[in-house]
Amino acid sequence: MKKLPINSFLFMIGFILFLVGCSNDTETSNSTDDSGGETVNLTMQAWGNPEELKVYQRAIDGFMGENPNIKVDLVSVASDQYEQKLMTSLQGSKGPDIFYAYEPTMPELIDAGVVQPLDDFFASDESYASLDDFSEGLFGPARSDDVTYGITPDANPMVIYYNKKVFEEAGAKSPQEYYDEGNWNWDAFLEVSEKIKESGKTGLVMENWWAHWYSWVWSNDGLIFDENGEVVLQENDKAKEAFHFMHDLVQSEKAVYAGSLPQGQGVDAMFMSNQVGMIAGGRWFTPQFDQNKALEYDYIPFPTNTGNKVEEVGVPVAYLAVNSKNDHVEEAMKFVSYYVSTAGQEVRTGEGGSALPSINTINSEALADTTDKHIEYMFNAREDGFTHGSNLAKDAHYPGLNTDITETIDLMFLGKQDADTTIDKVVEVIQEHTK
Amino acid sequence: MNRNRPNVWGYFFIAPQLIGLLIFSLIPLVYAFTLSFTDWNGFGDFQFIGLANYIEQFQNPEFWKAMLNTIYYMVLVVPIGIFISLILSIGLNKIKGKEIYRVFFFMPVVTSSVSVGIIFMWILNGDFGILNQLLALVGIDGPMWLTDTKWVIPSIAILSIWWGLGYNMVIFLAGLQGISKSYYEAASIDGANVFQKFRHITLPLLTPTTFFVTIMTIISSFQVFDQAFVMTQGGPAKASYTIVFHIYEQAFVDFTMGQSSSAAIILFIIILIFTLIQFKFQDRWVFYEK
Repeated sequence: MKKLPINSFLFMIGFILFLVGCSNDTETSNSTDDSGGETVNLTMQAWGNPEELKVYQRAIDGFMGENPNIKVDLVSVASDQYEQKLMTSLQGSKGPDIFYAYEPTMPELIDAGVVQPLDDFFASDESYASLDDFSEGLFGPARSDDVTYGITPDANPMVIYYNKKVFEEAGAKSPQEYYDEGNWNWDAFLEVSEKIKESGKTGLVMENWWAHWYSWVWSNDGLIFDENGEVVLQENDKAKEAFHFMHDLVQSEKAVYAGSLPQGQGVDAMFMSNQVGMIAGGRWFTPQFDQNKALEYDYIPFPTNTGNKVEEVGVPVAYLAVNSKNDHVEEAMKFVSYYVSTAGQEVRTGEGGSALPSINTINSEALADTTDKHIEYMFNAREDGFTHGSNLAKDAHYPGLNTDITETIDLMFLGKQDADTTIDKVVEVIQEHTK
Repeated sequence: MNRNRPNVWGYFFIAPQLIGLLIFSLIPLVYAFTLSFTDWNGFGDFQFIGLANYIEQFQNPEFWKAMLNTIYYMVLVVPIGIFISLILSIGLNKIKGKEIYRVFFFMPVVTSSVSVGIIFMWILNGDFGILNQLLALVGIDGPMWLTDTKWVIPSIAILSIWWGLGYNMVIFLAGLQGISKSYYEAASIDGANVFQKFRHITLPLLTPTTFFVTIMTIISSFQVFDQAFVMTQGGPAKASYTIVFHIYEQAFVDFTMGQSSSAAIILFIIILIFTLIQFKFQDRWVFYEK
């Protein structure tokens, strides 16, 4: 066999080095601006549709207006597989300086030591906001051992949206009337759903993710996890009753399961085309619904089965965190404090916004919402709600657990598994992950 | 003149492929192999734990579920896919306007798996999908293809067979065109009919191509992922949870990189063994023209 000639070998090495030399280093850097001062460049990674990104940019522009020496670039990453992309880039030490993170991602990031503790900075004069401005229930998994690693820039408490036209056509009393009488409970919910079904439409689109299950369970004063984050579903009859309630809603066709709808025929599309009386969600549906002038809808809290007018609901949030390995941690924290401050929140969550402010003091009047809808129900829910990863919804702390619970409940909604088997399996997967 | 000069250019031309192989295949392979002996969540230091990941893998019911699903998928896709593409290629070898038909059959191959997955979600939707609408016309109550645990793997297999048909067909066509006409002429003189020609000339001389197609289809069946990822996310109840899905979930959902790597290495060894077995037994059924 011929040996590789030495000159060929050197040539190849040279070629490889040439290719490596051509690659670009994308680390953040300092540069000098026109005025001669030093500019700090930061990147902020987030998910969002084009409209949402425009809203984020408003707060970024506000910050850069006040801090001309700090430049923040918004990097948008598709929400699909966002977490995987974020974790991979952080593992490769090429992560963004500031980033949005989902609730279940925070415990992972805290364990890995890649997120910056924020308490000291937020207590300093440099900060635009104070941690006391935020409800305790909103910190959830972003706070560990009394150290805060992430702050929610807004909040999205769950309410029921109801389509007035569908209710009228079905001859059903509106949820608001039941609510005013103090009777907006599970029985009333079943009653209106049945009427809507009789009119040839569907009462509710049932979705399968944490904010829905927990909101239904809590509406019956049930618990899957207790205040200490221990799983109690196996002995909690109220929670079991809520599983049966959800199961029966779908099986009796008062609700249609979102998982069996074809692509494009989503929850929002069914609601806007007057096919369904109610859907559950946060404020993210609102901008789209408001553009549809023919659609008449309003908000109502989740119906309860406890005799109380309202119970706690899930509050989907995202966290803004700072990469502890970035070269400009102080500037990054300053930006985060602005982004989550009253000024930063008002420009993002004002009219046309897709979430509520997470700062307690910003109320429905501050939103300049000129419609006659009962947006105050969302604000009320914000005060009493819990985020994913709070002790009452602890599953977000265990990687993969949420996916496994979703898969089990999926079978129940698809009619492949009864409610009792589903409860047993949910308990089983939780115990497996938390042992 | 330097007599090594032609060699230099040879290395120059293969350099891009060689570098690609090195950077994107060999280094990751060695890296994954090393990772498979560690407990690592993607951050911080590695902790070597010996064979614990492999033992954990074999004790993990999800690994076996993924393996069984993958084998079930393979049993459906390999024989049916190869049989249909063989028949099609024979048909398209002589038919009028064959170029146009070949383009039609090959078109799905150049479509991305994600697009194909999304289209099939529509076609296979149990309530509104066109397939069940068509079945209803002939009085058949179609199943809930993607949401029924019994039907989800066959549904993904249907998609994969359709998607991979063109690729296998083109390879079979190349094989068919490599068979010398003189064999058929000689057989005609001996009075052989169409079936006899197919049985005694086409099939044996096509065995090297069939061998190649079989190996490639088995390997790609073991690696099935995109379709399940787009259409079912491994569900319902992990009924379409395949071995590559298991590797993905352990790495990017559970963030147990070491365990994920051990599953990847096990998959690598299984594919290697399957391929070696096929090479070992090829003497019994593969005929090369001498």
